[in-house]
Amino acid sequence: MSTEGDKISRKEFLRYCAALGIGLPFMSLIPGGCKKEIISSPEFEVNFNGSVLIVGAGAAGLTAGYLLKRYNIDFKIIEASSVFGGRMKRAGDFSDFPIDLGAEWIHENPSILAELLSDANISANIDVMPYSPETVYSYKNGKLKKHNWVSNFYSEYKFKNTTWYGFFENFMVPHIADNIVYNSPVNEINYTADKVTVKTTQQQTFEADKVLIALPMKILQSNSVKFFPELPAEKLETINGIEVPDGIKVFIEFSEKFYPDMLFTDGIFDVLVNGDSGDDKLYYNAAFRKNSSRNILGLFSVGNVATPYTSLETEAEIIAKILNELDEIFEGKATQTYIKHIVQNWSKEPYIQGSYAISSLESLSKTAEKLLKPISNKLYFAGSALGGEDRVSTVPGASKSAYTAIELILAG
Amino acid sequence: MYLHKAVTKHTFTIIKKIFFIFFLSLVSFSLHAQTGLKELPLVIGLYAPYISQPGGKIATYINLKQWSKKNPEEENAFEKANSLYVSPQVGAFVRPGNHNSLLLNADVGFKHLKRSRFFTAYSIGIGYLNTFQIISETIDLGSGETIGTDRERKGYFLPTINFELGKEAKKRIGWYSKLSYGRNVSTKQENSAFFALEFGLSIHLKKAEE
Repeated sequence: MSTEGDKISRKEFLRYCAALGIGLPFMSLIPGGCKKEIISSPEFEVNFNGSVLIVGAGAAGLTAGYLLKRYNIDFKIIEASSVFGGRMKRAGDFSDFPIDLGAEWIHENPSILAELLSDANISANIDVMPYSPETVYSYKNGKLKKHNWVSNFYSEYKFKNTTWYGFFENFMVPHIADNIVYNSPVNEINYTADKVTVKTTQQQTFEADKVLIALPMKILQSNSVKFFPELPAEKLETINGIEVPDGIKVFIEFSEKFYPDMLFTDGIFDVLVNGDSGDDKLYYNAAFRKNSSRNILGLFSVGNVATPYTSLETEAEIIAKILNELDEIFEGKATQTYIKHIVQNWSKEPYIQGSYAISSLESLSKTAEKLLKPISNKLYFAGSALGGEDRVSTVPGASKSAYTAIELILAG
Repeated sequence: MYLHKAVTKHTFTIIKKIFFIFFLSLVSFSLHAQTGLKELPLVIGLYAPYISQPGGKIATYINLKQWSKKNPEEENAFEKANSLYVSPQVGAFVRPGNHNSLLLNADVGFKHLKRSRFFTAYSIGIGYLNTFQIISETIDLGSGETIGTDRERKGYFLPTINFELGKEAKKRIGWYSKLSYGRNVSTKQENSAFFALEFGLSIHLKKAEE
């Protein structure tokens, strides 16, 4: 369980709550994090001084570039869209605090932030906060019920004044900004010769000794990138066996806070029982402890429960559906107090096409192990789906997979 | 005039809340002034609100009234004994990475003691809970250490109902276990359910009488 003290992720909270027992008071005292551990720079064995192409400028791709820069390895990051970040995305102007349209929670002891940078010489601090909701409701069969006691079992760290996007923007991207090529969707990777050739839909051709593929799993599954030769059958089977469902985030500003800090649209015990199903739908107070004067309600939804929203054609339809739902729960207050909204439909993002990996044919650890194995010492893989059992589908998981991939690349 | 203003402006100040709880305790102490504090058991226990937040509690029990049914077959032995008691308590517990809390509480209850010295007790408690909630932490990105923490104080009244099960001391040391259920009540935020598990020892500084 990836805990620090009693701080747990949302998914683990659902399992944890179901196992209340006499040992729990003492579990929270077990030091699970590395609060006092001094972070040191990684020392990889370097038997490689060629060039590397990194496909994708999400968390994994950016971390890979950050590490290669440190080892003075020639590299380029090829990004399909016009911005870096992948599923880290920020809405800077929507409210009086920046909003994460993608990855939001830190999911671990916040010392992981220093670990991802692994630079003891950095002279910078960052503020984080425990998101420990004070009011927790559930809505099922027309009944709104309070479960505020649940707040004693759930807490996760979030950034206080910034976002995941902002973290990478401030601490990693400045070192590698000149190495990122934008608006260059990759459609071919040829590793038949000594050098690996990467081609894009913009008719560009890049060549390097090794390629690190840091693409979203949905993109790999879509076959929009042709490999020559084809990827080995085992690799393809592993890639295609990963389930990446629909996902959406919506933020709505209201003139009044009529909603709780967390609202489950299912019975609280149904949430506990079905917590591992991969279906996630949660309304939450996005302005919680953000020193904000605004009332911002967030909707986070992944899985089958997200599809009714992601499949709608327009933003107007999505927001109408959500307001209708909230009006039913809160007796019309949503429409009465609505100010504005922002929608991030990840299923419709052309270079993402979904949310994040929720399951695979084998265990997530086994999946990561298989995917991290390089092909012909030329193709390497990294990404949030390779985060392993404890870190799958998290930014730290994506970053840490890049550490593993770079270590393999540098080992030659 | 100051007192009048304070009452009209605020329901309770923090000092008045503390005095309320200790007033209840002091009343119960004064009723037994003639017996001396050494007669009172010292109760020390592990205290776990929500079963997951570790802490401790110190308390004592003060009998307000006691009556027993003697065993007619044995001299100086009782069949069972009942008592009404007051128990002032101080407790503290922590939710690591989230908050520290201090509890001042007083239970008023009924205890049923059997000849075997096993007892059950039912009580109502009224307490005041001070929680010091972490609202932000500053992380040094070079070392990963937490170098600063901001906290916010929250106060709750905590009425509870309690059930105890234990064994009275034969000479000096007995044990108890206790289940509590109540509500965190505050004028500033929504109420929430409270429950706690406790178990510990009662220590008689003066040998307990059989």
